[in-house]
Amino acid sequence: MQNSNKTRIEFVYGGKPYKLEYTAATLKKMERSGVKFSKLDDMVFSAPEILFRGAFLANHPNESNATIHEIYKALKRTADDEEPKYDEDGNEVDALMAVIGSMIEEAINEWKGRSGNSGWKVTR
Amino acid sequence: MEGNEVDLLPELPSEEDSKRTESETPISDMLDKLCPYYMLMGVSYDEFWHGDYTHLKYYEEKYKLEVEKRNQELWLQGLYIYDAVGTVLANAFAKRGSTPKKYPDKPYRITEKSEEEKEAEKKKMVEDFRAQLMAMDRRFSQRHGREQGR
Repeated sequence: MQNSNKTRIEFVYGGKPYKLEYTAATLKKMERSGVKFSKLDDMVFSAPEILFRGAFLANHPNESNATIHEIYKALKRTADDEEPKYDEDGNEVDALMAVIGSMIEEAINEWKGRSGNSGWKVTR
Repeated sequence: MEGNEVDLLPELPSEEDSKRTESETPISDMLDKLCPYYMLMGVSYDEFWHGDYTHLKYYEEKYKLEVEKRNQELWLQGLYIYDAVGTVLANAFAKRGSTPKKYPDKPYRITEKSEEEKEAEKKKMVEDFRAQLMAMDRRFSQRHGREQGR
């Protein structure tokens, strides 16, 4: 039993169980690869797969890009099958990326809260 | 000690960072600065970088409790030193023939008394009072007897 409020995505794909999450190490690695968390809102639209790939780093660091791409497509399809959701401006929300974005936001805000760093803000 | 607040928690790397603008502050820098801070609180390097960040609040709470506990211990130690020095000085400057001041014969109680202890204490108080009354009665009878014998 896991005693945590951390948001994770768990699923089985091709018979293999996956657990997607973000940690301090993965955030650092993603940032080093060029992800700008201060522009997370834009990146959710412009580079969703990069953010999605980051969620594999913690528990599945050796997963191939091809498999991650397949999973991304499959999960996106599953997510899209659900009732469409709309944001405040009436735009349809990408359900999968909304979760990925909120996971990253949760992690960043958690760290931000720990440091008391008021200079950091993630808005969605 | 009330009113004297001393912050024993390590200084967070926030002030410097908060001066920088949002886009200038990489998350990596913030994490790099926070890592030793959490290691001081007992979080392992692996737990910090690869573990569940929602658990960190428990380490923070634990650390705060430890600081509080240490503060209490130091305060108590100061109290014992005060007693020891006070006893020595009081006896050194005491008038000849006065009862010497004694250092407390047992430690200060820092935990609450149990129900049994409270009960035993009450019982002892009653017994002591009864013994005092009996002694008073004895003294009275002796004096009264002497007076009657005259």
